[in-house]
Amino acid sequence: MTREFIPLLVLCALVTYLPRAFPFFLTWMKQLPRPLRKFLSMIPIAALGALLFPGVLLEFSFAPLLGLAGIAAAALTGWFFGGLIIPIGSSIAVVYLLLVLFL
Amino acid sequence: MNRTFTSGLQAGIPIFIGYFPAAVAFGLVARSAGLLLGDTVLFSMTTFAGASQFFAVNLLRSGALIIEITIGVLLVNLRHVLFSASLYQKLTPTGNLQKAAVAFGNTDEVFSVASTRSGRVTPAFMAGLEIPAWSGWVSGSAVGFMVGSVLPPDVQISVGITLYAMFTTLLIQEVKRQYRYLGIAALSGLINTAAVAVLGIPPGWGFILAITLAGAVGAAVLPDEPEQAVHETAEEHVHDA
Repeated sequence: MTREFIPLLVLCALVTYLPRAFPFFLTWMKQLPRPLRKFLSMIPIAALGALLFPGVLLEFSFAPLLGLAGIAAAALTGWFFGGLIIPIGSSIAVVYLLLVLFL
Repeated sequence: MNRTFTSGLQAGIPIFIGYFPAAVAFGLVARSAGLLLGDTVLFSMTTFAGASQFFAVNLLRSGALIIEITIGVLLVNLRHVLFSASLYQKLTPTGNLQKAAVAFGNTDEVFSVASTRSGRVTPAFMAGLEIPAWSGWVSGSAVGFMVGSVLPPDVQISVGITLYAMFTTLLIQEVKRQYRYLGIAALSGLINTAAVAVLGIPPGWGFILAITLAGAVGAAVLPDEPEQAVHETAEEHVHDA
């Protein structure tokens, strides 16, 4: 795996570093037009939706409801408690319980 | 108080605490995608970006091409242009080498902590802030990878939800701030599902299509929040950590 992984590793590092570094060196990047700024600020939110679906259904392709139950648990605990540890922990616990009890 | 390495370290400890468990989750996912321990740790050391790494490993597991993964990662990272442009204004005048180093560690959480300090920050402060963040991310990745090998099979399957639980949690924090974001995320998820499952578009391109379209719709439809978006997102992230 390691040898095939190296090109991806280098490319990912580059496309992560360059957007972080350019504004420190290129003056025009410090004042992007407002519509572009707005578009860029929407990207993380859109990305989360596309990262969730259809991935969470395919991850548990033998029982897609398992995946939905897991993210429902994370959504509820995330809403009421915040943080990352409690939502992730309860999500894993819900999926594990459903898996052991029903499948 | 935003000048010394030590004050940076103090502000960086909470980021370490926040990053460590997220990185453990990444280590678990990386292992299940077939990466080796060395790959996983090297990836975290060089890329140092949670969302990008989760995304890359996930696409890798679904058999996407390197070019698809790279463009997707670039899109996910473009928001950092906004963060760095803002941090640059806040940094005391400094040499190119220091600027290049500060830029490497400018993650969402580092940026949000730095940007909520009053007054300017020095490169030394930034180093103090970024070193614990980076250490937490790298060490957590290694621990997650190693823990993965001793978990029983049922638990390993359940741990597959970790990544999605994390995305859900991040999304919920955004939705609490602005309900309409849920619509943008749902639209993006729908487009991606339709593209991949119905139209048979390769997963990487489906993702790129979905976030570009849904992002454009969001920018066109949602009301202006001048300069606030970045800043408030930043505060949410501090809260996460």
